[in-house]
Amino acid sequence: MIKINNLRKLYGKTRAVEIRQMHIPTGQSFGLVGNNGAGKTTLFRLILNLIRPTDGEVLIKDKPVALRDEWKAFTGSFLDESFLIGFLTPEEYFNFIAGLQRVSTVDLDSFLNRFEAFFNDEVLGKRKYIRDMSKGNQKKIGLVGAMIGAPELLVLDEPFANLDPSSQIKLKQILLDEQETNKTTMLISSHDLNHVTEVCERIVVLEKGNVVKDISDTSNVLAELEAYFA
Amino acid sequence: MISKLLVHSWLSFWRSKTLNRSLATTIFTWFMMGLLMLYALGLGVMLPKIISKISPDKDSISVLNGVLIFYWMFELLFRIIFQRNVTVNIQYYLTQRISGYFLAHYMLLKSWANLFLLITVLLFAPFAFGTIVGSYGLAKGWLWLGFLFAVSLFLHHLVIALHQLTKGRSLLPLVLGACILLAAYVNFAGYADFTFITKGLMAVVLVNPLIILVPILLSVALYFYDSRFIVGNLYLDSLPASTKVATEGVSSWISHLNSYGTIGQLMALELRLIWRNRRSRPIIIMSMFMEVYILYALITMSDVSVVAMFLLFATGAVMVNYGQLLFSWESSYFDFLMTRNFSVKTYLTSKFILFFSFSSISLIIVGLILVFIDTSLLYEVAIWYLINCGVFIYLIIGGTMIAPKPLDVNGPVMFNYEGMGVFQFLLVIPFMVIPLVVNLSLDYYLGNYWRILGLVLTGLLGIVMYKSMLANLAKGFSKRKYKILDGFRE
Repeated sequence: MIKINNLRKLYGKTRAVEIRQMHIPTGQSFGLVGNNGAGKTTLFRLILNLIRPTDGEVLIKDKPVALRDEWKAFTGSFLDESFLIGFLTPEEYFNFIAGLQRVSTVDLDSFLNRFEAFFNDEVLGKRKYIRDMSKGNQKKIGLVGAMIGAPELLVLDEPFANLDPSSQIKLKQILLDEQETNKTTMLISSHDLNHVTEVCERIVVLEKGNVVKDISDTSNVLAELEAYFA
Repeated sequence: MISKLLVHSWLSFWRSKTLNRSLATTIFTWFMMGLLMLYALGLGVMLPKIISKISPDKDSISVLNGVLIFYWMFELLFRIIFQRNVTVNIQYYLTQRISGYFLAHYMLLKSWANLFLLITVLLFAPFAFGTIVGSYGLAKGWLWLGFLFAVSLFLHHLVIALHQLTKGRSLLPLVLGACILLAAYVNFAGYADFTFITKGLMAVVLVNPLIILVPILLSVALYFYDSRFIVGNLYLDSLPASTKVATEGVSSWISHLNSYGTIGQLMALELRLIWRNRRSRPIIIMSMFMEVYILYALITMSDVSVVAMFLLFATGAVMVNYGQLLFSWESSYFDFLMTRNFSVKTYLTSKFILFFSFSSISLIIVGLILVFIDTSLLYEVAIWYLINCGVFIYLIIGGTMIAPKPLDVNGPVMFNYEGMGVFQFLLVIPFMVIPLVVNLSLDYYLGNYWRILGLVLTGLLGIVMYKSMLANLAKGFSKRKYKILDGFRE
């Protein structure tokens, strides 16, 4: 699904990301961990063609993201609040994305029904603009918005942060279901080692922009990560 | 205590994001404020001359008194649109050891330091101490000015009450604006006379000084009403910045656009942006009034070169004033737009159609007025409307790509230059210079017939070729995309 070739992003002389080669196969759930400033968000922005790489390229389905727009049709993403439109109600926001993804109103309704428990009756039908909602609910809106139209690739930055414990557990189940039913390729970054190891089958550790660990054997991954970060 | 709170508001002013973006913006903001003051004072000094020029055979005091009715109506309108809500920055103090009444009085008294009251004084003090004192003596001069100040104070507290009651969201400005324009038209076209109201009122005031107590007492009453209202609503959820209920009316109309594919969706999004945000909505409303005002100026002016400078604005003011900050309006969710499934060309096409509609609606309004008054001016405005749509739309879209800056769509309206840079200012210049140069030079070298033909053909060609024009702009946009995104993330 994703190939990275000699990707490098410098800010002045500071190296934000430097990845020689990386391949993320279709259907893989890929977890990205690392301390603050390790380059996780920068990597995601490079993959989503939101910043220009200093060198190298990112390919999605063998097409460079910088030159072609095809990836947008099957990619859902939520990195931060700059993916939300504050002056819309959640319904309007979802409708907007559904329209762009050519998802019908009926399909959107049945899609949103799946998230009734996740939304906990605090999101839909409240006649409130997104900017007036709590951080947690904003996060939920962004996450669900990214999943509209059953994207083949889902890129989520820190999806568990700002959510209450029940919502974190529900989100974990939602992500696992998504992998199960749609075979979605997932890129998830997180500071929560427990959650990310439960959801992802491959964990990559970034440090100062470099890949320092790439673990595909999940049997003992949590202990290994805890040892690394301790 | 008061001094501490005042220090806070001083700091919040100087350290605000709006002001601290750049030194140039700060200087410019102060410059504009100073200029406005200077204009007000200059206009005040010139007032007797202006009045005697417009109606030389009438008593200038009674003429000015008569026009006051419209001045007050406009002041009310401008206050409703621009006056800041007094309870805007007090959420930090709610949990501190400060009593509610203290906060309310503090906010209300602090709100007196505003431009409107100052402008009233600057505008009318020269007349009061010149003409009025000359005819009635010093005491009456003070009385006259004092009465105007008291009315301004009354309007000030009235608008605070209105803001509290309507929570800042109502159609009042539009309705009021339309009423004022209608009343002004009826009055100055000679169908009715509203000026006798204030003419009579002020004549009575000059004879009976005690009448000044009426606006003062009304102000005091409203002051206490406002303070009681504020004290009763010192909760986070009743402060203006907090939770608001989403509106339905206009929204449901806008959602019809959603059925026109991605372009319709993007336009619906932009219309919602305009309608639902504190900074964008007044810009559109004010620009509409500006177009009508420019029309009035065009009708009364006879100098060809001056007329030419405003021709584009008659149908393009909304487009220019909003378009100056085109991509900046969406800076807070630009990342999202750039990862979503539509092409840059589609995105730019939605902007094109939006601006095309703005200008066309303006042409219809302007045309409905002009068709009864001056058809030759209507032709001229229509010709420049074609140039607006066929040339200047591309200039705006292309120009704003160069260096857009982020801004808060929900920020304050007045003297807010967030998002403005050198490019945004320069963009306006061609709108004034090009019609002037073209009209003068083409008329001179080619004659009127060829000038009109050339302009109409250029405009039509530009409109017909919109697809390839937008495709070219889209190429430029794709090249600049990362720069724009980086700029918005700062």
